[in-house]
Amino acid sequence: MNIAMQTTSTFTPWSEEPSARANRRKIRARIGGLHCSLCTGTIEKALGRLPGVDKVAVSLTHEQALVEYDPAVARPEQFLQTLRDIGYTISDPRKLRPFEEEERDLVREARRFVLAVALSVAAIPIIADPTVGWIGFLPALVCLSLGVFVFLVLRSTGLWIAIASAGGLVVMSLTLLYLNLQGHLKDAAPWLTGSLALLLVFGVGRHILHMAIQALRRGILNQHVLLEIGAFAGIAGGVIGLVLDRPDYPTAPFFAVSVMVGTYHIFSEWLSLIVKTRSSQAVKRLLDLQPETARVVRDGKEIELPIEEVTVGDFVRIRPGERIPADGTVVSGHSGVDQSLVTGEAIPVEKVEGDSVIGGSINGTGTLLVKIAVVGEGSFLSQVIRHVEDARALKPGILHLVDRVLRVYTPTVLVVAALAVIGWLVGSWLAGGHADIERAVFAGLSVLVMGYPCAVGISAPLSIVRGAGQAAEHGILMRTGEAFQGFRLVKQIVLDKTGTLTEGRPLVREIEAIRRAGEDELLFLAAAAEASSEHPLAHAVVEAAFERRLTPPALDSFEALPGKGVIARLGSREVIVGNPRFLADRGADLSQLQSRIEALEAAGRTVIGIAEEGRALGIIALGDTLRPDAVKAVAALRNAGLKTVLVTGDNERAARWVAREVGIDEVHAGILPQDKAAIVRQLQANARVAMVGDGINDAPALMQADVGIAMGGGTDIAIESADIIILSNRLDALPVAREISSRSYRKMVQNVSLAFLFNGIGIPIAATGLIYPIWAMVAMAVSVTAIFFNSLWGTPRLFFDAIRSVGQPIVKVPAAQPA
Amino acid sequence: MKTTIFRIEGMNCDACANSIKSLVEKEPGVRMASVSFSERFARVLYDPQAVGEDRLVDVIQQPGFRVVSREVAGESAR
Repeated sequence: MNIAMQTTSTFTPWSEEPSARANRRKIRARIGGLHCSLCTGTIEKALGRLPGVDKVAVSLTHEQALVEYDPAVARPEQFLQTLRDIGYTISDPRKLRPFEEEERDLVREARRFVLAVALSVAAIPIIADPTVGWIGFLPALVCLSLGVFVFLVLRSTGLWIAIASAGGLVVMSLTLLYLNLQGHLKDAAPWLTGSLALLLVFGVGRHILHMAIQALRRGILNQHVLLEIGAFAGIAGGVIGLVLDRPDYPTAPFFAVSVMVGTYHIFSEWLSLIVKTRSSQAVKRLLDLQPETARVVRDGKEIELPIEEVTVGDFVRIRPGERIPADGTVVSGHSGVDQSLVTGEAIPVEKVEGDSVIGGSINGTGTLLVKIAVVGEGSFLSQVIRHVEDARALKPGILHLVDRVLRVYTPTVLVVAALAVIGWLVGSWLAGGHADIERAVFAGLSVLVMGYPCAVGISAPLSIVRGAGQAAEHGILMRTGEAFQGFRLVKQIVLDKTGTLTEGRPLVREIEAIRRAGEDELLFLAAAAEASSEHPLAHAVVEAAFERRLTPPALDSFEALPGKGVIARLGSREVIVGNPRFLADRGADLSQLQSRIEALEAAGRTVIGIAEEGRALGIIALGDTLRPDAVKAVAALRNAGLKTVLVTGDNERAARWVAREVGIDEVHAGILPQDKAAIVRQLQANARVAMVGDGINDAPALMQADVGIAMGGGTDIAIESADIIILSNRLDALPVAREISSRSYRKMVQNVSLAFLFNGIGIPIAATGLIYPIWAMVAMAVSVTAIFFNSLWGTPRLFFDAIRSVGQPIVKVPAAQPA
Repeated sequence: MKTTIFRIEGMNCDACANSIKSLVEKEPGVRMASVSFSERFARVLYDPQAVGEDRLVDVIQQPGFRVVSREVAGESAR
């Protein structure tokens, strides 16, 4: 091609870096498609060979390349083109910003947690009281484990920082313990712990206070409110102790409890954020991060513009294999266009001058010049996006188990505290003649302090860490934890056809020659005729010949008749390949195979005929193929008691054939994207529905379903609308996902039960006003430990990996290898 | 048309095989290519009038892989 390629000055998907040498420039570009550490060598070599390039450094973890070059000889556009040529993609820096911001948030929350731990680790030795017996040292165990956490968390910042911090905390706590045991802290203890508590509640944990206040304003009693109640109760108890100034009043322990509950809460918030961020990042990695550009012809020159700058009326050139950027009409060119992601049709559609094309479909082997008709609002894609948003609004919500329990639990705690106060006041008045206000308040505060279910806050994110880890090992990505756990409740499953149950592209399925021995020869001739063709089925025919190790000859001449077929000349012979009607028009008689043609077409195949010198030689039938595991997967789903439904935008015949092969009874064909969502909505009237799909046209239904499941190789909008993503692209992951979902939910219920068990015992005991706050701390420590054991038994690595990964960009989630 | 098998050293994973396939198929004159990482070869169907074997070797070696042998697997006269 001789058309000059220019990039406009505004569009540069790379950033300039300052260079050490005066006559050299340095750029940094974000690269996608790096699979293994050895790929970096490939890129370094490929770029290093270009003239003018001095140095190349490629980083796998940061997914970027730094190139230092002589601007007199080389240009950045060349580097990017070279990278594209060898199969890597350039990432749009604007699309990457969210990644970096999310990672920064995680690191900030990690630092906050470390601070909170420091405060706890200071508070505990101060109040440690060996006279209570060995039980008093249980919080010390917690101290130790917190120290280990700090090490893990800071490990990513730097090994020495981690060791220094963890070591520093150990030294500090041992010093304080020593001072305490020597009796030096007797008077200072309440003031020290008091300041620590204030520091935590109003300093390090300030954001939680904000959230609690906001929730209270709306009348919601959520976990944050519960925490602040417990923390303030602890501070109140401590302040009262300072005022009363009595030796047996547990002033310092009250303050210390505030610090501890605050620390646990900050930890659970951070763990939840890690889970949410990691799954969001893993999803983003699947999306196409390339800058969206189009090759627009203006004033006789072709320029590459960002897609936002393409306007109605622009002429866009679309090369083979490229995605059509927007809705428009073909002005010149001839190609087969794969619309499977947009309409569900498995067989590419032939497009010539005058035909309309849809944005998002994929060009075949020809080149098209398209005049853009619609951009943005009104385009097919934006309509689908609107339907997705409509579906989101109509989607039935899932209430988290913990929130449901808290709705009952929180008022109960408040009521019990109130009853404890009233009970003591009344009881002591009846018994001794005067109300023992002090004891009553003590009892009330003890209940509130014991009431904070710190283990509950941790149990949800822990069970999700475990569930997500197990799912990832099977090539399943959980996007939303709740939906994943809800998958077990689904009783109906809707499956898309093209690209989900099937491979999504046409392959040669049957070859039938009129002369028995002629199959290979038939394919040979067909491939020869189609080799230069932009016919939609040409690729499949040539591929079939290639697979059979045939080498078709080159042609002498070739004429394509869109909608009909091709006429080729091989030496002196004329070969015709095309649809049976076309052959009949040219006098080639396929009547021998007529019944076969009808049977194959009824099965959803596309049939083409081959004739040589006017004589029909035979037919080739092409069709979509089932994914290898489709039959087994659908059978497994039905065995699990699920009702299966097939919904597709493709035609009825193809749909019924697939349904028969795979064992699905209910079939809906020719369905538009918004109607797919409507079908899901209808089914939801009976029971919960899961939807499995991959195309643009599946997105509204994926959003509407209780659980949307996207195939990993699917379109961006399908992946973003789904709750679960099957990275391995294997349908047999579906029953596995359901199984993990059940197990994960069971684990969470166990955790939550364990958590509430301890609080359940602790609260009534605290109501008696006879126990000291240190028991609250013991109960907390024990319940959290129990939950950790229950969640991570057998899979501790998942948890430690999650913590350690903060601060480092996520490493690719590997797709499960096919067995 | 001609089909040639090139034996390749230096591939590290399936992605390398895919990038070789993309590179080769983009070359004008190449009709189809199939690259196997596990068996270390590329099989290419092309029009020898439009592109030569040596050119294909260059294309494969450009990102740093090494072609260690080539054999013609099929050839069709006109």
